[in-house]
Amino acid sequence: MALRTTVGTRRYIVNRVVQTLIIWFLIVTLNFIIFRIMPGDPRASIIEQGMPPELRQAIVERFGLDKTLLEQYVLYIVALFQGDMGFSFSHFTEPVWETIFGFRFTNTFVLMGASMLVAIIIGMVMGVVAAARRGSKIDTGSTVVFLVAYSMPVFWIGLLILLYLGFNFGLIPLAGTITRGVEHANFIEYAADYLHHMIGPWIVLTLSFIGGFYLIMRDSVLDVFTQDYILAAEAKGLKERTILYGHAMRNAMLPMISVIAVNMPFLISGATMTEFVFSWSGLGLLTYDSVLAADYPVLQGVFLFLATITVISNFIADMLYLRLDPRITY
Amino acid sequence: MAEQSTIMNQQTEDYSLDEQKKRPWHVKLVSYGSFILLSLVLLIFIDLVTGALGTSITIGILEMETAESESIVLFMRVSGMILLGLSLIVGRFRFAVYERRNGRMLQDLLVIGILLGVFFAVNLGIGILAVFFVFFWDPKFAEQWQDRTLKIYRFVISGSVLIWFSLEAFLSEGWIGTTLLPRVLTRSLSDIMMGSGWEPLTFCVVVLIMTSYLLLPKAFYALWGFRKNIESFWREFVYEPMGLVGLFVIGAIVLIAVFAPFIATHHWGEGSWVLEDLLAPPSAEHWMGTNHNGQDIFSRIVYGAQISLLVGFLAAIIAVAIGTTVGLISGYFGGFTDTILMRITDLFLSLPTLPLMMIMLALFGRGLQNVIIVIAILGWTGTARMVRSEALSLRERPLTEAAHALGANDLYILFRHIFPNTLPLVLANMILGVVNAILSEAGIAFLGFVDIHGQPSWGIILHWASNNGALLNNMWWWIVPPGLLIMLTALGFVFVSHAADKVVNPRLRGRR
Repeated sequence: MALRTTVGTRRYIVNRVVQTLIIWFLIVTLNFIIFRIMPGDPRASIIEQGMPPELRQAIVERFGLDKTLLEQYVLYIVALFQGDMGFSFSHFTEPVWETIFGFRFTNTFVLMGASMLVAIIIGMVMGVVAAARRGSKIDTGSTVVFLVAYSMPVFWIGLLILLYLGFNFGLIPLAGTITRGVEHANFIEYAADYLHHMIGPWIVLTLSFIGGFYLIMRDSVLDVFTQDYILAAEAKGLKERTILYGHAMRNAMLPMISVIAVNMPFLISGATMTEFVFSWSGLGLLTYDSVLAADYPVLQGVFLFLATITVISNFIADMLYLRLDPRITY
Repeated sequence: MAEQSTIMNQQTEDYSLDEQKKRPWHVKLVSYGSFILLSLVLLIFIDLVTGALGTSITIGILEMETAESESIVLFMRVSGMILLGLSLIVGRFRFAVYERRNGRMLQDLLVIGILLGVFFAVNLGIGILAVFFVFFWDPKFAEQWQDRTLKIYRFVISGSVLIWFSLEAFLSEGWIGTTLLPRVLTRSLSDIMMGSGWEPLTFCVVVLIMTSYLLLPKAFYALWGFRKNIESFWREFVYEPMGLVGLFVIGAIVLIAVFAPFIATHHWGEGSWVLEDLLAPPSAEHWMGTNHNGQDIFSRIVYGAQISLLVGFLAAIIAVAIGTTVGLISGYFGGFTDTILMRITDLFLSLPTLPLMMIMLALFGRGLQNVIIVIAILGWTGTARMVRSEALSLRERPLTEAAHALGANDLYILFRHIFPNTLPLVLANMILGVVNAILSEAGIAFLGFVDIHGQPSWGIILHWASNNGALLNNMWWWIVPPGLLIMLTALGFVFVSHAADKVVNPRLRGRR
């Protein structure tokens, strides 16, 4: 299926690209402003009482904090496009880029990816099944179960799993991404240890994602069932399975895409909680530590990165819509 | 199954036809109960606003003593109530104010009061813009003008104020660092008045806001009319077991919160320094044991219901109010306004929620009001989008055209025709907003970004539990109950919203 390149479609795509860029630029600006209008002096966190004045001056100049705001803004934009996001205050003046993308991004990405994959698959299948048997015991039962999962506080499930699986039965390790102080002989051993540590946070995150996905899928399948083409398919005498997975599910998947994209910030929030509870060294834990340590460059970097991901995923969702739904023409 | 639902449907219809006149007791209870409840909420809300306003003016601007300010605030509240009583009597005897002019003057007074409040609280620039939008957007003297002239007039005036305002913001101290322009528009009226001897003038805002009490009978009347919708909603809702369960759970938790002082066996802050009382397991004296300060966990959980529910409701109401306003304006006016507002919404939609909450709370202070505000200003986007699309479609319907033809202006159509039609959507969003707010509050409280030493919320109890080795010592009685209550509260609202969705949204009920 080729992308329909009518004039309208092309104009729509160009429009979306421009909009995305504008939003992104606004976020970049907001990201700069937020850390400047805040009460309190960012210098306070690195300059200590007994420092000699020359050193103090040097630090202030090193971070460019003596310049006026406009100059700082220009410097910030220029540095951003050079891929330079400054240096962390608290991580031994490590470059922010390094702090974010060193190993923390990988940890978060693996954890979130694995949980989202499972949550989406289970949520979608259960959603379709429940919608197909509307009002049956399966429907009511699974709806109640997933509503419960939806309303559980993420960190609380984390605590319970730590308490029972971790402390009482000793099935999962209590914190971290790998066992500390152990030399792993080869990659497989390393991976096994890593996955063993991932079980807890993975269960928690999957549980926290799954309710929303199920509900949206069920709702949109129900919506599809009221359409005339389902009636037509039934009238043709198609098998129930074909109607369900060939017609209903394919059409109901479209809203899912945009919902996942729009809910990106909330999904990331859930990941932050989980990482905190399990001390999983990812971006969420980094955010928490940086807020406590008033590490502004790192916060700025994480903030920008997360917002950028959301903006890009929104854009991709819109493009996917265009690609997947032949009814949409602009 | 299909048969059963048809039968049920049939029953509902017969029932509503036959017994329209004599309503069963539960319908009556819900109808009057919800009227009284909503009126009370409105009254308390107005009272709180007056109190907060009075305090901020007397202490913040006039720099009075606490005792003095308290007596003035009390005076304001009491006189407000007297005004309300007076207007109820006036409304009862149908005086001219309510009969013919529909309280129009009072409404204008209220608007003027709010605008003056903007001048005092924000700054002159925004105030002037607001006045322009409200009173001079479609002025009487421009009735004969052409559309094009009107557009130019609007654009020139608002544009020049905005340009001057932003120039000032940039060129006075704080942005570029040099002062090239005197600060006029970027200062607030109270800023200018401070120390000039004219401070008592700020009270005129209060006087104008007081007119809102005079308008309350109208609001009560509107609520009374709203009763019919509630009744018809309830008649359908009764057949959703899930919704009833949810309502029951919410009711129980609200009761716990309201009667917390009577249910709790101790006060939430009542500690003990005797070694045996610290971290004690459950006993007859302490039903859920004690924490590291010797405080009774059961009582803390009971009192925690108050904070969690308060934050949940207030944050949801504020968020939905912002979202509805933005959505209505954006959807109804369309064009340039729509583009700007929707870009702002998009911007807010792509901000990472939890990190931003943590940052804001860490820097602006961790008080309860900050928690509510932070949750609200990050949670209005969904409502704004939904209300906007609803308003977009309502704008194209014949009812809007008819109202236009009868000579109604935009504001009237917006509030009398478009807004009531979006109400089901708004209420549905409110219910889900409460869930979102309760869960968010629990999360940031657990991470320790709220005032963790004051009256605890359930999240704060869990924060202390995880910080004091509740896991290590296998103290499940400290971890399980608060989380369970958070879950139950959220679940109650989710159930109600799920059931209400079925009632309001016929397509979810399927083909029949």
